[in-house]
Formats: sequence, C-alpha cells, structure tokens
Amino acid sequence: MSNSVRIDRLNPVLVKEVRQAVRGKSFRSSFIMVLAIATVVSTAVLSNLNVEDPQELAGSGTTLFFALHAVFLFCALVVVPVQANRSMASERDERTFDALIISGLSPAQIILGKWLSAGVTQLLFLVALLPFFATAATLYGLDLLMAFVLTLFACFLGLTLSLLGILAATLGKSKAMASLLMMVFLAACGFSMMWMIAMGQMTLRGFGGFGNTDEFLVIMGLLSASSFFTLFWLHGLAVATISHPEENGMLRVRWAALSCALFIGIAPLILVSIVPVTPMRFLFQLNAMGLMVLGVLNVPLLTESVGMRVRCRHELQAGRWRRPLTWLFLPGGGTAYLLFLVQIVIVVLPTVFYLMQSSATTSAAGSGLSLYLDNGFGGFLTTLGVVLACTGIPAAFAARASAPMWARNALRFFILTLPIWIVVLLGIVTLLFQLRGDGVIDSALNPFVAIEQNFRSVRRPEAILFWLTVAGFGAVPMLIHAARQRTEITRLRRQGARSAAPLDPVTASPEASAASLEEEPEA
Amino acid sequence: MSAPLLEVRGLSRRFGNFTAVRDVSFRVEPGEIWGFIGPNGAGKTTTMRICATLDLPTQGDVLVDGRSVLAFPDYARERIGFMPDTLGTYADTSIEEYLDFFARASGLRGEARTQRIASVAEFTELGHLMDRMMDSLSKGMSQRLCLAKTLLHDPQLLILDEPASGLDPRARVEFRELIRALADQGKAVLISSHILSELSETCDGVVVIEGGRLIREGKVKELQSDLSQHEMLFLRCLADSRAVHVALAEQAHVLNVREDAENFIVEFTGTEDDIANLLAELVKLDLRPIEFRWHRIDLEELFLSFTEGRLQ
Repeated sequence: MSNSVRIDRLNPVLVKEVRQAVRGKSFRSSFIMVLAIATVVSTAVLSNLNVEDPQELAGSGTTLFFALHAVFLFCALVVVPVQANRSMASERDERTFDALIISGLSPAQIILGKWLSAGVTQLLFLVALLPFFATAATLYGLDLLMAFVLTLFACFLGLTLSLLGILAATLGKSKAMASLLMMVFLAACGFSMMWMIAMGQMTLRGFGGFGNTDEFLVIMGLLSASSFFTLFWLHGLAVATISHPEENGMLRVRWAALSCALFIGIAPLILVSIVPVTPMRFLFQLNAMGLMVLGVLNVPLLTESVGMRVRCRHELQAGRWRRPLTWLFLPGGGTAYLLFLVQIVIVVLPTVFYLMQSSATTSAAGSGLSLYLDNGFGGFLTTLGVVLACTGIPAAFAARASAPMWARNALRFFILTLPIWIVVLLGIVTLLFQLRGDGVIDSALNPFVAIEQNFRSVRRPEAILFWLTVAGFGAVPMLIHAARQRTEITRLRRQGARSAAPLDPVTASPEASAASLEEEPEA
Repeated sequence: MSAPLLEVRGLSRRFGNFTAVRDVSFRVEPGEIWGFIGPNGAGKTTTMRICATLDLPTQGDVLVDGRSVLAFPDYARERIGFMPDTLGTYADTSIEEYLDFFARASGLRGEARTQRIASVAEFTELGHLMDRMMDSLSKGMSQRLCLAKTLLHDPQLLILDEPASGLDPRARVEFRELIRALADQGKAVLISSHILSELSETCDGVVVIEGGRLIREGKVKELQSDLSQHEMLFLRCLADSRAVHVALAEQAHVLNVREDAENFIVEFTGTEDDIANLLAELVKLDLRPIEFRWHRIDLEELFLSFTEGRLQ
C-alpha cells in the first residue's frame, strides 16, 4: 500500500488537528517550555548529586527518572488534556461545529480523531523527553521495567484525561463552560487517584503485601483493563453528546456497557485462577464493584431522549431490524434486560465458587470458610442504599414524564457522570478517615468494603437470597421497561404488517411516529 | 410532476415555552430556486437547521429525496449542502487544507479528491488563492469558500442561509450567477436572504414566514397574479396627452387610464400578447411612445403585503 493511500485512510480530523497543532503557537511554546524545564530539572538533580555518597549514587538513576517523570506527568495529565479540551471547545466557539457534524464524518470518528491527535501530541512530548530519560538510564539504580510500566500508566491516564477533556468540551456550550467542567473533572480525578491508591493498598493487603512482581503485574493489568473500558465508555458518552438524535452515540454506549458487563463477569474467573492468595475476598470485592457498575450502567439506558425513540420506530416500521437486535438496542428496557441477566450471573457466580471452595476446604480441613462474622447490619443498609441510589431511585425519577425538561436534563447529566461523583464521594470519605488518623478504609461507610463485609457476615443461604433480592431491586425498573418495550415492538410490527406504506422506509410515516410520541409520554 | 428534493411537512419547533416554528410545510423541486423570506426571528434559520439535520423538530418531519431526515440523517447529509450565514474558520489553516479536510470527511480519496477540490475552486474562482490562510480572507472570499466547501460532495439540494449578507454589489451579482448556474445543473436551492431584490431576480418560488408561521408559499408568478388582479402599464408619449388618453381608453383590455406628472398609468387585463399588440397599436397611431414599462409586483411588495412586521 503506497504512503499516500495510507494517509488517505487516516482519520481526517486527526490529519487536520496534527497540522494545526504543529503550526500553532500554543503547542510550539509549550513544547519548548517542556524541553527547557526538563533541562533545568536534569541539571538541578545532577548538580546536587553527592557522588561521594555510595547510597545516593546507587539511587541516582531512580531520582533523576522520578524528577523527569513528574515533568512528563505534567504534560500528559495537564497540558495534553487541556489542549484536547480547548480543541473541541473551539469548534463551538469558532462556529465550525455544525460543519463538522454534517461533514460526512460520524460523531464517533470526530471524537476519535480529536482523541488520537491528543495521543500524537502526548507521544511528541514523550519523544522530546526520551533523551533525558536515557540519561537517567545511564546512571545507577533505575529499574527499567518499573520505569516502563510507570510511563505506560502515565500515558494511559493522560489519554483517559484527554478523553475526559473532550467529553467536558462536548457538554459545555462555550469555551468558558468547557474549561470549568474540565477543572471539575480534573479535581474529581485528583480525588479518584487518592481513592485508587487507598484501594490499591487494601487490595495489596488482601494479597499479602507489596513486593510480589506477579501481584504488581496483576494489579497493573487490572488498572489498564479498567482504563480501556473507561476510555470506551467516555468515548461513547462524548459521541452520544454530539450525535444528531443520538443515532450512533447511544448504540456505542450500549456496546460499552455490555463489554464492561462482560469484563466484570469474566474477570473474576481469570483472576481467581491467577491469584492464589485469598481469592474469595478479591472475588467478592470485584463482585460488589460489578454490581455497582452495572447499576450505574443500567440507568442511562432508561433515560434516553425522544430523538432516539423516533428513529427506532422508523427502523421498526421499516422492518429493518430483527427481533434480537431490537431487544438489544431499542431505548429503554432491551439492553437493561440483558444487563439484568449479566447481573444475575455475576451474583450467582461467586456463590458457585464459594460453594466449590467451601466443599473443597471442608473435605481437606474438615471445616468451612470463615464467612460467619457479626457486623452485617451496617453493611446490609449501606449496600441497600448504594444499589437503590445507583439504579432504582434515579430510574424512577427519570421515568417521570411530567418532570420539567431542565430537571430531566440535569438528572441525565448527573446520571451520565455518576461514576465520577461516586469516586469523588469515596475520595472524600477516604480523605476524612485518613485525616482522623484511623488509617483504614475498612469501614461500613465505604460501600465496597461494606458490600464485601456483608458477603462475609450473612450465612450462606441468606446470602444467596439477599443478593438475589438486591439484584431484583436494580432489575425492577428494567423489567418494567422491558415489558413495555415488548408490547410496543409487537404493536409496531403488527402496524407494519397491516399497512404497506409504513413498511417502506422511504415513506415511513413520521406523523404517526410523532403522534404516537405525543400520545405516549417518554418513559 | 417530479418528486420534490425537499419536502417540509408540518414542521414545528419549540424551545421550552417559546415556539420558534409552527406547522410549516413547503416543497422544493429539482432545478428550482426557492427564497425563504421573513423578518428577523421569523424562524428561517431554525427551519433550515432542521432541514440540514442540525436540529430536531418537536413535531413534523422533513423529507430529503423522499426520506425522513429524522430516520435517515446520513442519507440526508449526503444529499444536502448547508451553507450557514457565517463561515467558521480554523486557525493556521490555508484554503487548500480547509477544502482538503472537508473533502476527506466526505469520503473523497486520492485523485478524485484533488480533482474535486480543483473543480469547486475553479467554479467559485478561488483557484489562485489556495495558499492563503483562512483568517486573512475578505467577507466575499469567505462566502465563496463556504460555498466551495458546501459543494465538495456534490449535493443535490443546497440550503443557503443568508449567503449574500455582507457582500458588496459586485460580489452579490457574481454570487447570484453562481446560484443560477447551480440550479441549471439540476440542483434544488433553498435560499434565505434579507435582500429581497436579490431573490426576486433569482427565485422561482418563495416561502414567507413570520412569527414562526407560514404566511404564504408558492411560485413567484402565481403570488404576483394573486396579489394584482390587473397588470399595471406605465407609458410616456411625446404626442398630445389628451389624444394619448383617448386612444388608450379606446383600446381593448384597458380598464382605466390615469395620468401622473409624466406618465400614463394603464390598468390592463390582457395577456402578454395583448400588451405587445397595445404597444404596436400606439406606434401605429403615431402617439410617439418613448417609454413603456410593465410594472410587476416585486418580492419586496409581496413581502410587505404578506407580513405585518411582527417580531418574536
């Protein structure tokens, strides 16, 4: 394949953005500034190095690497995301956004192009800093694998923040609003980092302490995988925000939700076989997280706009979609129903594992696992609150067709960004506990811990019953929607079969759709 | 009758409690130019944005080449070229790069893309300015560039929102010729403008809206005939005015003859052939006509007679 053909196939937005970036004053000045700072930092570290102290000399490579890594972190976590945010926001401010939307590019391509260009910018910063990193590698004591993993993780985090910046820009109607949202997101990420470190410590304690390379790699792998799904999810949200009647956007959110659900379902299976130390504890924590994430994922599917419904009615009347696809992608209960099934599976899976483990241990040692602790009631209440907050209550509010539009929009925004708010809340709780000097987050106030404690505190048959009930709470609104959807699908198909005209996609009756929309308030 | 390229059906758009567009319907056939006129805030841009898939109606639908823009937005985007009232500019980008970006975006590859860019640049006379940066362009050049971008994917339907605003008289004439040339290629054009004299010379039909409501729509000639029951002829002769008056009053199809300072104003009910016969008769009678004008109601008068100047 010739070079020109390859360039031809590149994302047009990526080509445009890179062209603009390398010519733009802001990129050039920030690039020069980063090089200058890296030079100053390297000089300062090397000039302050006491070469006569063997201990300091032995760690000189690591010291220089961490100093330079801080510079790269600043580029990856602040400069690049802010540039990505401004690039997207300026499309609105410069009035080029409309032209972009109707240009023939799909919303997904637009967001992807913007994001990839942020990746290219990040890569340019990394390449610029490579000679400095090479200097650190020539000194003593630098663990190259650790340096590589930390740089990779910074890149992942930077890419996630860039996508978050793009999402903030799509949500804001002006550059100022986009910048404000970006600041909120960055602050939330700061809190989440704190929480992630605390969670990491706890997980490591569960594994038996830091220092085992296998465990370190497992954790990094887990974080990278979750980053990947976070990216997918953020991309879907950004696309949904800029889509005309969300025709593609919400479909991508659905795929993201399903992939995430599958990941959550499959990850414990893999991890239990890899991690030999306290697998049950880890499994239960993942299971608890899985339930929460699924709860959060369910809700956006129930709060979609009218535009998507109009389109789906056309598709249905035109007979273009087969029934399974309709179930999966029709707004409302379809995907939520599927998520409910996954939810049931991931509730049942640990139970099966528990029973298997328990019987194996019983046969080997003559006693069951220690799952009979006494602090279950607080955990029960917290868990109930979390699951209700994540699924039932927002879904119930969102389903109120009589609610004013601003309230529905505000709720939708809140729900779409709910993972961030949960993380912020957890960050605050963790911080408070750290400040109090307890030094622990194994508290009933931490929902993850509470859920896990609840697993451990309730006797086996009750545990199964309890978790099925909890899953049921999340599932009730979904099932109601699914039932309504089923009725609607059947009605529209019958309507299509009776009348020849609506079956023709060219003349699918928009008036009928609009009329039925008027008749039936949005769920 | 051929299928309309654009059909607006009972379109309404509400923003909260405010109704910007209310039950608007009209259609545009291939090869026709339709003017979309109305006072400021009448709902023209809102309607055009919905047609261009940039907004959603609260009720009603828009069909482009027979398919709903709600159900098939991608299909509509392939067929529509939307030109907004102002061109959004990209920093540090030349005209060629700008056109190259949108050509890539519309799926043009390799040699086809290069040829298409050259073709639209030639049509809009931008060929010699391809290396110029976008932010250094004059208003007229910006409008040409905007049109070039709109034409890149060879759309069958052009929706032009105030394309002539801010242009000098020469640029307006040139722009009008470009639009006429596009219609001659079989493209349908919906064009909004405040400069009604511009539209009257270009448009086959008009849609008049005010306060979000459709006031009138139809072919210009039909609207003109609806408004004026009789043709008005203006005549100046060098012969004795009394003789002219008498001679005119005796002619067929003449209803009434009036005189102002210089002209005779004749109310006439005949056809175009009858008007030609009348002129020939005046010459034959040696009334020495030196000025003969057939006054038709122009768009400005149509607009003023249909609208009340209400603002939303």
